Amino acid sequence: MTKPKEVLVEPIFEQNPIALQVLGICSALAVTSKLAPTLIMCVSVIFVTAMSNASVALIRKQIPSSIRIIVQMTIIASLVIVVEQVLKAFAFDVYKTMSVFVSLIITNCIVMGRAEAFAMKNPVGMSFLDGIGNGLGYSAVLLFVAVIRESLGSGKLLGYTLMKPVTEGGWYPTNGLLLLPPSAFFIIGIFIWILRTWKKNQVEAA
Amino acid sequence: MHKDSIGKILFVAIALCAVCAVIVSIASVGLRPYQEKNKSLDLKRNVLLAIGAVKQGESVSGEKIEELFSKLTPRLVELGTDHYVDASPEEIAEFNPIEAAKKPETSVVIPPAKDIAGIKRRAKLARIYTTEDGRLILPIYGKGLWSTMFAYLAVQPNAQHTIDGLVYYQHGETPGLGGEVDNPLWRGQFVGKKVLDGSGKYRLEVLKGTGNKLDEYSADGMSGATITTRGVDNMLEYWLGPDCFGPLLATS
Repeated sequence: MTKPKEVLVEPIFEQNPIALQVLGICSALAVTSKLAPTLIMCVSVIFVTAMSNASVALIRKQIPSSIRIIVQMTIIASLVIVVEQVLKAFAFDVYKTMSVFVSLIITNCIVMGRAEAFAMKNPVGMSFLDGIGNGLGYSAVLLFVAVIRESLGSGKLLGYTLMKPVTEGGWYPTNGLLLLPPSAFFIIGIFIWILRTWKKNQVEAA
Repeated sequence: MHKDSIGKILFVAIALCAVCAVIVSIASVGLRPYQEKNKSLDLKRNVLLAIGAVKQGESVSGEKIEELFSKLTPRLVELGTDHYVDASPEEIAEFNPIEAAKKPETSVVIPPAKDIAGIKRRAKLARIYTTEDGRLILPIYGKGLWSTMFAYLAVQPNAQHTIDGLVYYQHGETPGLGGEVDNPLWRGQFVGKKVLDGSGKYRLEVLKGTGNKLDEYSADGMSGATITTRGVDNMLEYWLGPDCFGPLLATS
Protein backbone atom coordinates (compact mmCIF):
# COMPACT_ATOMS: atom_id res chain seq x y z
CA MET A 1 0.00 0.00 0.00
CA THR A 2 1.43 3.36 -0.95
CA LYS A 3 1.55 6.12 1.63
CA PRO A 4 -0.54 9.28 1.23
CA LYS A 5 2.56 11.46 1.30
CA GLU A 6 4.15 9.61 -1.58
CA VAL A 7 0.97 9.86 -3.63
CA LEU A 8 0.94 13.60 -3.04
CA VAL A 9 4.63 14.42 -3.51
CA GLU A 10 5.82 11.85 -6.05
CA PRO A 11 4.12 13.40 -9.08
CA ILE A 12 5.96 16.67 -8.51
CA PHE A 13 9.43 15.46 -9.42
CA GLU A 14 9.57 11.64 -9.34
CA GLN A 15 6.56 11.00 -11.55
CA ASN A 16 5.97 14.39 -13.11
CA PRO A 17 3.10 14.14 -15.58
CA ILE A 18 4.66 16.59 -18.03
CA ALA A 19 8.35 15.81 -17.63
CA LEU A 20 8.20 12.02 -17.30
CA GLN A 21 4.96 11.04 -18.97
CA VAL A 22 4.97 14.00 -21.38
CA LEU A 23 1.23 14.62 -20.95
CA GLY A 24 -0.58 17.93 -20.99
CA ILE A 25 1.94 19.72 -23.18
CA CYS A 26 -0.69 21.64 -25.16
CA SER A 27 -1.81 23.97 -22.38
CA ALA A 28 1.76 24.23 -21.12
CA LEU A 29 2.56 25.96 -24.40
CA ALA A 30 -0.55 28.06 -24.58
CA VAL A 31 -1.01 29.77 -21.24
CA THR A 32 2.56 30.31 -20.07
CA SER A 33 3.53 33.56 -21.77
CA LYS A 34 2.49 35.43 -18.63
CA LEU A 35 2.61 34.34 -15.01
CA ALA A 36 -0.81 35.57 -13.89
CA PRO A 37 -2.92 33.42 -16.25
CA THR A 38 -0.54 30.55 -15.57
CA LEU A 39 -1.27 30.72 -11.84
CA ILE A 40 -5.01 30.67 -12.49
CA MET A 41 -4.57 27.77 -14.89
CA CYS A 42 -2.56 25.83 -12.28
CA VAL A 43 -5.20 26.34 -9.60
CA SER A 44 -7.93 25.33 -12.05
CA VAL A 45 -6.12 22.17 -13.10
CA ILE A 46 -5.32 21.20 -9.49
CA PHE A 47 -9.00 21.66 -8.60
CA VAL A 48 -10.23 19.68 -11.59
CA THR A 49 -7.79 16.76 -11.22
CA ALA A 50 -8.41 16.49 -7.48
CA MET A 51 -12.20 16.70 -7.71
CA SER A 52 -12.52 14.46 -10.76
CA ASN A 53 -10.24 11.87 -9.17
CA ALA A 54 -12.26 11.96 -5.97
CA SER A 55 -15.61 11.73 -7.79
CA VAL A 56 -14.47 8.90 -10.04
CA ALA A 57 -13.03 7.03 -7.05
CA LEU A 58 -16.28 7.53 -5.14
CA ILE A 59 -18.36 5.77 -7.76
CA ARG A 60 -15.62 3.53 -9.18
CA LYS A 61 -17.34 0.34 -8.04
CA GLN A 62 -20.57 1.37 -9.74
CA ILE A 63 -19.14 2.45 -13.09
CA PRO A 64 -19.83 -0.17 -15.77
CA SER A 65 -16.55 -0.74 -17.60
CA SER A 66 -18.14 -0.33 -21.04
CA ILE A 67 -19.02 3.31 -20.38
CA ARG A 68 -16.27 4.23 -17.93
CA ILE A 69 -14.46 6.63 -20.25
CA ILE A 70 -17.59 8.62 -21.01
CA VAL A 71 -18.49 8.66 -17.32
CA GLN A 72 -15.07 10.14 -16.53
CA MET A 73 -15.44 12.66 -19.35
CA THR A 74 -18.84 13.76 -18.07
CA ILE A 75 -17.50 14.34 -14.57
CA ILE A 76 -14.43 16.19 -15.86
CA ALA A 77 -16.45 18.30 -18.29
CA SER A 78 -18.92 19.33 -15.57
CA LEU A 79 -16.10 20.35 -13.25
CA VAL A 80 -14.41 22.35 -15.97
CA ILE A 81 -17.66 24.18 -16.74
CA VAL A 82 -17.98 25.05 -13.06
CA VAL A 83 -14.40 26.38 -13.03
CA GLU A 84 -15.09 28.37 -16.17
CA GLN A 85 -18.23 29.93 -14.70
CA VAL A 86 -16.39 30.86 -11.50
CA LEU A 87 -13.54 32.49 -13.44
CA LYS A 88 -16.02 34.36 -15.61
CA ALA A 89 -17.62 35.72 -12.46
CA PHE A 90 -14.56 36.56 -10.37
CA ALA A 91 -11.52 36.84 -12.65
CA PHE A 92 -12.98 38.11 -15.89
CA ASP A 93 -9.84 39.77 -17.29
CA VAL A 94 -7.70 36.70 -16.82
CA TYR A 95 -10.51 34.53 -18.13
CA LYS A 96 -10.52 36.56 -21.33
CA THR A 97 -6.78 36.17 -21.92
CA MET A 98 -7.07 32.42 -21.37
CA SER A 99 -10.15 32.11 -23.61
CA VAL A 100 -10.50 28.57 -24.86
CA PHE A 101 -7.74 27.09 -22.75
CA VAL A 102 -9.91 26.91 -19.65
CA SER A 103 -12.44 24.75 -21.45
CA LEU A 104 -9.58 22.76 -22.94
CA ILE A 105 -8.74 21.47 -19.45
CA ILE A 106 -11.38 18.88 -20.39
CA THR A 107 -9.01 17.42 -22.94
CA ASN A 108 -5.93 17.74 -20.73
CA CYS A 109 -4.55 14.22 -20.78
CA ILE A 110 -3.36 14.46 -17.17
CA VAL A 111 -6.89 14.80 -15.80
CA MET A 112 -8.32 11.85 -17.63
CA GLY A 113 -5.09 9.86 -17.38
CA ARG A 114 -5.23 10.04 -13.59
CA ALA A 115 -8.94 9.23 -13.46
CA GLU A 116 -8.42 6.13 -15.58
CA ALA A 117 -5.08 4.99 -14.19
CA PHE A 118 -5.44 5.82 -10.51
CA ALA A 119 -8.92 6.81 -9.39
CA MET A 120 -10.58 3.72 -10.93
CA LYS A 121 -8.54 1.49 -8.58
CA ASN A 122 -8.02 3.51 -5.41
CA PRO A 123 -10.15 4.89 -2.58
CA VAL A 124 -11.47 8.44 -2.51
CA GLY A 125 -8.91 10.02 -0.16
CA MET A 126 -5.90 8.64 -1.99
CA SER A 127 -7.35 9.57 -5.36
CA PHE A 128 -7.96 13.10 -4.17
CA LEU A 129 -4.34 13.41 -3.03
CA ASP A 130 -3.13 11.87 -6.27
CA GLY A 131 -5.14 14.51 -8.15
CA ILE A 132 -3.62 17.32 -6.08
CA GLY A 133 -0.15 15.83 -6.52
CA ASN A 134 -0.45 15.56 -10.28
CA GLY A 135 -1.93 19.03 -10.46
CA LEU A 136 1.08 20.28 -8.51
CA GLY A 137 3.44 18.41 -10.81
CA TYR A 138 1.79 20.07 -13.80
CA SER A 139 1.93 23.42 -12.02
CA ALA A 140 5.64 23.06 -11.20
CA VAL A 141 6.51 22.79 -14.88
CA LEU A 142 4.07 25.51 -15.93
CA LEU A 143 5.37 27.98 -13.36
CA PHE A 144 8.98 27.22 -14.33
CA VAL A 145 8.12 27.89 -17.99
CA ALA A 146 6.02 30.98 -17.25
CA VAL A 147 8.63 32.63 -15.01
CA ILE A 148 11.28 32.25 -17.71
CA ARG A 149 8.98 33.31 -20.52
CA GLU A 150 7.52 36.38 -18.89
CA SER A 151 10.73 37.66 -17.30
CA LEU A 152 12.96 37.23 -20.37
CA GLY A 153 10.21 37.75 -22.93
CA SER A 154 8.78 41.01 -21.63
CA GLY A 155 11.13 41.98 -18.78
CA LYS A 156 8.28 41.84 -16.30
CA LEU A 157 6.86 39.48 -13.74
CA LEU A 158 3.22 39.71 -12.65
CA GLY A 159 3.17 43.25 -14.00
CA TYR A 160 6.27 44.42 -12.06
CA THR A 161 9.15 45.52 -14.25
CA LEU A 162 12.29 43.51 -13.56
CA MET A 163 14.34 44.74 -16.48
CA LYS A 164 13.12 47.85 -18.23
CA PRO A 165 12.51 46.90 -21.89
CA VAL A 166 13.89 48.98 -24.76
CA THR A 167 10.35 49.61 -26.03
CA GLU A 168 9.63 51.56 -22.83
CA GLY A 169 12.90 53.47 -22.89
CA GLY A 170 14.94 50.98 -20.83
CA TRP A 171 17.95 48.87 -21.65
CA TYR A 172 16.58 45.34 -22.00
CA PRO A 173 15.92 44.15 -25.56
CA THR A 174 13.00 41.77 -25.05
CA ASN A 175 13.22 38.29 -26.47
CA GLY A 176 10.19 37.98 -28.74
CA LEU A 177 10.67 34.26 -29.29
CA LEU A 178 9.90 33.57 -25.65
CA LEU A 179 6.46 35.13 -26.02
CA LEU A 180 5.58 32.73 -28.81
CA PRO A 181 4.24 29.27 -27.93
CA PRO A 182 7.10 27.25 -29.51
CA SER A 183 9.57 28.64 -26.96
CA ALA A 184 7.78 26.62 -24.28
CA PHE A 185 9.00 23.49 -26.06
CA PHE A 186 12.60 24.54 -25.52
CA ILE A 187 11.99 25.42 -21.90
CA ILE A 188 10.15 22.18 -21.16
CA GLY A 189 13.00 20.38 -22.89
CA ILE A 190 15.49 22.10 -20.62
CA PHE A 191 13.32 21.29 -17.59
CA ILE A 192 13.29 17.60 -18.53
CA TRP A 193 17.05 17.70 -19.13
CA ILE A 194 17.75 19.18 -15.70
CA LEU A 195 15.32 16.78 -14.03
CA ARG A 196 16.83 13.72 -15.69
CA THR A 197 20.37 14.80 -14.91
CA TRP A 198 19.33 15.10 -11.27
CA LYS A 199 17.24 11.90 -11.18
CA LYS A 200 19.05 9.49 -13.45
CA ASN A 201 16.42 6.75 -13.12
CA GLN A 202 14.01 8.78 -15.27
CA VAL A 203 16.24 8.41 -18.32
CA GLU A 204 14.61 6.02 -20.76
CA ALA A 205 16.69 3.22 -22.23
CA ALA A 206 17.92 4.25 -25.65
CA MET B 1 -27.86 -5.92 -10.41
CA HIS B 2 -24.77 -6.99 -12.33
CA LYS B 3 -22.28 -4.21 -12.87
CA ASP B 4 -22.20 -4.54 -16.66
CA SER B 5 -25.89 -5.23 -17.29
CA ILE B 6 -27.77 -2.93 -19.64
CA GLY B 7 -30.03 -1.77 -16.81
CA LYS B 8 -27.05 -0.78 -14.71
CA ILE B 9 -25.38 1.02 -17.60
CA LEU B 10 -28.51 3.05 -18.26
CA PHE B 11 -28.99 3.77 -14.55
CA VAL B 12 -25.39 5.00 -14.07
CA ALA B 13 -25.49 7.10 -17.24
CA ILE B 14 -28.79 8.78 -16.40
CA ALA B 15 -28.03 9.32 -12.71
CA LEU B 16 -24.61 10.78 -13.50
CA CYS B 17 -26.02 13.13 -16.12
CA ALA B 18 -28.71 14.30 -13.71
CA VAL B 19 -26.19 15.02 -10.94
CA CYS B 20 -23.79 16.79 -13.29
CA ALA B 21 -26.59 18.81 -14.86
CA VAL B 22 -27.69 20.05 -11.45
CA ILE B 23 -24.15 21.06 -10.48
CA VAL B 24 -23.53 22.87 -13.76
CA SER B 25 -26.91 24.63 -13.60
CA ILE B 26 -26.35 25.82 -10.05
CA ALA B 27 -22.96 27.24 -11.01
CA SER B 28 -24.33 28.89 -14.10
CA VAL B 29 -27.45 30.43 -12.55
CA GLY B 30 -25.86 31.33 -9.22
CA LEU B 31 -22.95 33.17 -10.77
CA ARG B 32 -24.89 34.94 -13.50
CA PRO B 33 -25.29 38.29 -11.67
CA TYR B 34 -21.51 38.56 -11.21
CA GLN B 35 -20.89 37.59 -14.82
CA GLU B 36 -23.40 40.13 -16.10
CA LYS B 37 -21.70 42.84 -14.08
CA ASN B 38 -18.31 41.87 -15.49
CA LYS B 39 -19.70 41.83 -18.98
CA SER B 40 -21.22 45.27 -18.71
CA LEU B 41 -18.01 46.67 -17.20
CA ASP B 42 -16.06 45.05 -20.00
CA LEU B 43 -18.32 46.62 -22.60
CA LYS B 44 -17.88 50.05 -21.02
CA ARG B 45 -14.16 49.51 -20.84
CA ASN B 46 -14.04 48.74 -24.57
CA VAL B 47 -15.98 51.88 -25.41
CA LEU B 48 -13.50 53.90 -23.34
CA LEU B 49 -10.62 52.07 -24.98
CA ALA B 50 -11.83 53.20 -28.41
CA ILE B 51 -11.52 56.88 -27.48
CA GLY B 52 -8.28 56.29 -25.61
CA ALA B 53 -9.73 57.25 -22.20
CA VAL B 54 -8.42 53.92 -20.92
CA LYS B 55 -5.19 52.40 -22.16
CA GLN B 56 -4.81 48.80 -23.26
CA GLY B 57 -3.68 46.57 -20.40
CA GLU B 58 -4.12 49.33 -17.83
CA SER B 59 -5.88 48.10 -14.72
CA VAL B 60 -8.71 50.45 -13.94
CA SER B 61 -11.15 49.98 -11.09
CA GLY B 62 -14.83 49.36 -11.79
CA GLU B 63 -15.76 52.71 -10.20
CA LYS B 64 -13.31 54.61 -12.40
CA ILE B 65 -14.75 52.96 -15.50
CA GLU B 66 -18.28 53.84 -14.41
CA GLU B 67 -17.18 57.42 -13.76
CA LEU B 68 -15.47 57.86 -17.13
CA PHE B 69 -18.31 56.12 -18.89
CA SER B 70 -20.92 58.37 -17.31
CA LYS B 71 -19.37 61.31 -19.18
CA LEU B 72 -20.41 59.76 -22.48
CA THR B 73 -23.89 60.26 -23.88
CA PRO B 74 -25.50 57.14 -25.31
CA ARG B 75 -27.95 57.77 -28.13
CA LEU B 76 -30.07 55.72 -30.46
CA VAL B 77 -29.64 56.65 -34.08
CA GLU B 78 -31.77 55.49 -36.99
CA LEU B 79 -29.36 53.84 -39.39
CA GLY B 80 -29.31 55.27 -42.89
CA THR B 81 -30.37 58.68 -41.57
CA ASP B 82 -28.86 61.36 -39.35
CA HIS B 83 -31.87 61.20 -37.08
CA TYR B 84 -31.56 60.53 -33.35
CA VAL B 85 -34.48 58.64 -31.86
CA ASP B 86 -36.23 60.07 -28.79
CA ALA B 87 -35.85 57.45 -26.12
CA SER B 88 -35.62 57.33 -22.36
CA PRO B 89 -32.23 56.47 -20.83
CA GLU B 90 -33.64 53.06 -19.83
CA GLU B 91 -34.70 52.29 -23.39
CA ILE B 92 -31.27 53.30 -24.64
CA ALA B 93 -29.51 51.19 -22.02
CA GLU B 94 -31.67 48.17 -22.75
CA PHE B 95 -31.31 48.36 -26.51
CA ASN B 96 -29.65 45.20 -27.77
CA PRO B 97 -28.69 45.40 -31.46
CA ILE B 98 -28.23 41.65 -31.81
CA GLU B 99 -31.65 40.83 -30.36
CA ALA B 100 -33.23 43.66 -32.38
CA ALA B 101 -31.67 42.30 -35.57
CA LYS B 102 -33.49 39.00 -35.03
CA LYS B 103 -37.00 40.43 -34.83
CA PRO B 104 -38.72 41.39 -38.11
CA GLU B 105 -40.34 44.53 -36.66
CA THR B 106 -37.10 46.06 -35.41
CA SER B 107 -34.77 45.02 -38.21
CA VAL B 108 -34.25 45.13 -41.94
CA VAL B 109 -33.02 42.45 -44.31
CA ILE B 110 -29.87 43.55 -46.08
CA PRO B 111 -30.07 42.75 -49.82
CA PRO B 112 -27.34 40.17 -50.61
CA ALA B 113 -25.66 42.52 -53.08
CA LYS B 114 -25.21 45.12 -50.34
CA ASP B 115 -24.42 42.69 -47.55
CA ILE B 116 -20.64 42.99 -47.74
CA ALA B 117 -20.34 42.65 -43.97
CA GLY B 118 -22.06 39.25 -44.17
CA ILE B 119 -24.61 39.86 -41.41
CA LYS B 120 -27.84 39.21 -43.44
CA ARG B 121 -30.03 41.48 -41.32
CA ARG B 122 -29.42 44.35 -38.99
CA ALA B 123 -31.36 46.39 -36.46
CA LYS B 124 -32.99 49.58 -37.69
CA LEU B 125 -31.39 51.48 -34.84
CA ALA B 126 -27.91 51.58 -33.38
CA ARG B 127 -26.68 52.77 -29.99
CA ILE B 128 -23.80 55.16 -30.40
CA TYR B 129 -21.93 57.17 -27.80
CA THR B 130 -20.89 60.78 -28.08
CA THR B 131 -18.23 62.49 -25.99
CA GLU B 132 -18.42 65.99 -24.56
CA ASP B 133 -16.23 67.28 -27.40
CA GLY B 134 -18.47 65.75 -30.07
CA ARG B 135 -16.53 62.61 -30.93
CA LEU B 136 -18.62 59.62 -32.04
CA ILE B 137 -18.19 56.03 -30.94
CA LEU B 138 -19.89 53.71 -33.40
CA PRO B 139 -20.59 50.00 -32.93
CA ILE B 140 -19.76 47.89 -35.97
CA TYR B 141 -19.73 44.18 -36.64
CA GLY B 142 -19.34 41.76 -39.48
CA LYS B 143 -18.13 38.40 -40.56
CA GLY B 144 -14.46 37.41 -40.40
CA LEU B 145 -13.20 33.97 -41.26
CA TRP B 146 -14.85 31.90 -38.51
CA SER B 147 -16.85 34.33 -36.51
CA THR B 148 -18.73 37.57 -36.35
CA MET B 149 -16.33 40.24 -35.13
CA PHE B 150 -17.59 43.10 -32.96
CA ALA B 151 -15.84 46.43 -32.65
CA TYR B 152 -16.15 50.02 -31.58
CA LEU B 153 -14.87 52.71 -33.89
CA ALA B 154 -14.28 56.20 -32.54
CA VAL B 155 -14.14 59.10 -35.00
CA GLN B 156 -13.60 62.82 -34.58
CA PRO B 157 -16.29 65.28 -35.62
CA ASN B 158 -14.15 66.93 -38.35
CA ALA B 159 -15.06 66.84 -42.05
CA GLN B 160 -13.03 63.74 -42.90
CA HIS B 161 -13.71 62.00 -39.61
CA THR B 162 -10.22 61.15 -38.43
CA ILE B 163 -10.20 57.85 -36.55
CA ASP B 164 -9.53 57.98 -32.82
CA GLY B 165 -9.50 54.28 -32.25
CA LEU B 166 -10.77 50.92 -33.41
CA VAL B 167 -11.28 48.23 -30.79
CA TYR B 168 -12.29 44.67 -31.55
CA TYR B 169 -13.75 43.30 -28.36
CA GLN B 170 -15.33 40.06 -29.43
CA HIS B 171 -14.35 37.62 -32.14
CA GLY B 172 -13.47 33.99 -32.68
CA GLU B 173 -10.71 34.31 -35.25
CA THR B 174 -7.62 32.08 -35.29
CA PRO B 175 -5.31 33.08 -32.42
CA GLY B 176 -2.04 34.46 -33.77
CA LEU B 177 -3.39 35.06 -37.29
CA GLY B 178 -6.84 36.63 -37.67
CA GLY B 179 -6.98 36.84 -33.88
CA GLU B 180 -4.49 39.68 -34.17
CA VAL B 181 -7.44 42.01 -34.83
CA ASP B 182 -7.34 42.70 -31.10
CA ASN B 183 -3.57 43.28 -31.09
CA PRO B 184 -2.99 46.85 -29.86
CA LEU B 185 -0.16 47.36 -32.36
CA TRP B 186 -2.27 46.38 -35.33
CA ARG B 187 -5.33 48.35 -34.37
CA GLY B 188 -3.17 51.28 -33.27
CA GLN B 189 -2.31 52.02 -36.90
CA PHE B 190 -5.93 53.09 -37.51
CA VAL B 191 -5.50 56.09 -35.24
CA GLY B 192 -5.21 59.18 -37.41
CA LYS B 193 -6.52 57.55 -40.57
CA LYS B 194 -9.30 59.41 -42.36
CA VAL B 195 -12.64 57.83 -43.15
CA LEU B 196 -13.85 60.22 -45.85
CA ASP B 197 -11.97 61.94 -48.63
CA GLY B 198 -12.12 65.69 -49.24
CA SER B 199 -15.45 65.44 -51.06
CA GLY B 200 -17.13 63.45 -48.28
CA LYS B 201 -16.93 60.08 -50.04
CA TYR B 202 -15.99 56.93 -48.13
CA ARG B 203 -12.32 56.28 -48.76
CA LEU B 204 -10.87 54.18 -45.91
CA GLU B 205 -9.47 50.78 -46.87
CA VAL B 206 -7.51 47.94 -45.33
CA LEU B 207 -4.93 46.59 -47.76
CA LYS B 208 -3.58 43.09 -47.94
CA GLY B 209 -0.13 41.98 -48.99
CA THR B 210 3.21 43.57 -48.30
CA GLY B 211 4.86 46.59 -49.84
CA ASN B 212 1.64 48.59 -49.99
CA LYS B 213 2.07 52.31 -49.97
CA LEU B 214 0.00 53.33 -46.99
CA ASP B 215 -1.48 56.79 -46.89
CA GLU B 216 -3.92 58.57 -44.61
CA TYR B 217 -6.81 56.54 -46.02
CA SER B 218 -5.34 53.06 -45.87
CA ALA B 219 -4.29 50.65 -43.17
CA ASP B 220 -2.13 47.56 -43.44
CA GLY B 221 -3.84 44.15 -43.33
CA MET B 222 -2.76 41.23 -41.18
CA SER B 223 -0.37 38.68 -42.60
CA GLY B 224 -1.75 35.15 -42.72
CA ALA B 225 -5.28 36.45 -42.28
CA THR B 226 -6.56 37.48 -45.71
CA ILE B 227 -10.20 36.74 -44.98
CA THR B 228 -10.21 38.38 -41.56
CA THR B 229 -8.56 41.44 -43.11
CA ARG B 230 -11.18 41.51 -45.86
CA GLY B 231 -13.86 41.19 -43.17
CA VAL B 232 -12.50 44.25 -41.37
CA ASP B 233 -12.33 46.19 -44.63
CA ASN B 234 -15.87 45.20 -45.62
CA MET B 235 -17.48 45.87 -42.27
CA LEU B 236 -15.95 49.34 -42.11
CA GLU B 237 -17.20 50.06 -45.61
CA TYR B 238 -20.68 48.75 -44.82
CA TRP B 239 -21.19 50.44 -41.46
CA LEU B 240 -19.72 53.77 -42.52
CA GLY B 241 -21.57 53.67 -45.84
CA PRO B 242 -24.87 55.31 -46.87
CA ASP B 243 -27.10 52.56 -45.43
CA CYS B 244 -25.75 52.89 -41.91
CA PHE B 245 -23.71 55.68 -40.35
CA GLY B 246 -22.93 57.52 -43.61
CA PRO B 247 -25.65 60.19 -43.26
CA LEU B 248 -24.80 60.71 -39.59
CA LEU B 249 -21.12 61.22 -40.44
CA ALA B 250 -22.06 63.67 -43.20
CA THR B 251 -23.84 65.95 -40.71
CA SER B 252 -21.66 65.66 -37.62
